[in-house]
Amino acid sequence: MPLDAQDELDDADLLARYAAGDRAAARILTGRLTPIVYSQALRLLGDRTEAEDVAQEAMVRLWRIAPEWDAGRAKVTTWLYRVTANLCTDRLRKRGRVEPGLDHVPEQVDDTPGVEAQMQQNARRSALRAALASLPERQSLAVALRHFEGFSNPEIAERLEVSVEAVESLLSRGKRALKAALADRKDELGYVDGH
Amino acid sequence: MVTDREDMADTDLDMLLDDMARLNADPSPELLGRVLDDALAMQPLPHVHDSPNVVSIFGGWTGLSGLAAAACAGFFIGFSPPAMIQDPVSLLLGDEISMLDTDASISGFGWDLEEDVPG
Repeated sequence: MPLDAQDELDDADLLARYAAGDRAAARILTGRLTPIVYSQALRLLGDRTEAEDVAQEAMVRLWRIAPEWDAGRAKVTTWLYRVTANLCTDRLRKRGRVEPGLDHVPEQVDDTPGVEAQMQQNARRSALRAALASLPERQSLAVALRHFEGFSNPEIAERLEVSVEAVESLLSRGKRALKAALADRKDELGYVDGH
Repeated sequence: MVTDREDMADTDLDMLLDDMARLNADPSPELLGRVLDDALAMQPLPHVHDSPNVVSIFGGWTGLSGLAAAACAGFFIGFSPPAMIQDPVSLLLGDEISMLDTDASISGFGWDLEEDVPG
């Protein structure tokens, strides 16, 4: 099958081809899935080196399970989200704190005007990471799929194998928990009277 | 009375989530290379679906065992044919030759010529 035709195959089909020894499927899956797991890891960890380690490990677990993958089970990306979230949680526990350590590379800090705004943005992102890490897994997944990946509620319902109503409930509870977790730092993060 | 803590406004949280969504998270070429290296190192070997199965050529193990039995029977009949079965060679070449073939003398092979060799 030509490479461009393989690009149209869904993840489960490509994974089956990978397990059958198709090297082109390995390349396509790498290019398609690595950015997704890396993005998720970076949002949760805030450290590029750690995010790369987590992304690589999540993909290793996918390659390992490929021969046994059941096409009728959860979507490949949903399974990867869960694996990545668990790996990130393990990292955060070992780190002992949510904020990265001294070897953390600041996202963007320099001497140009607006550095104070940039620092505030970094602080807000760090606070959001901490709040996301405190959510139950399904709420965290629902929020990530909705706000970071842009999926609609029906699409999220399909991935999480729940009803659309359940997704709406997960999103509502998840966002309520985030707001509560961030409430103590509202002033510090510059959120005063809704600004 | 302690004032209840006021949660973050919905709009502030949405803006924060949108900001996080825009975070530049393209994987480096080095990371992509490592992930692909892992994939290829861990990939099972391709399945060979079209290679012929020797047993299947003979109709499976049943056919193969029948063939073996037929071969044994054929060998036995040829080596020591039952009385009612004529020597197959004589059937093909005639009785004269058949008489010579049943002669156990080694002269048919020329061994007697060696005894005539002066020594």
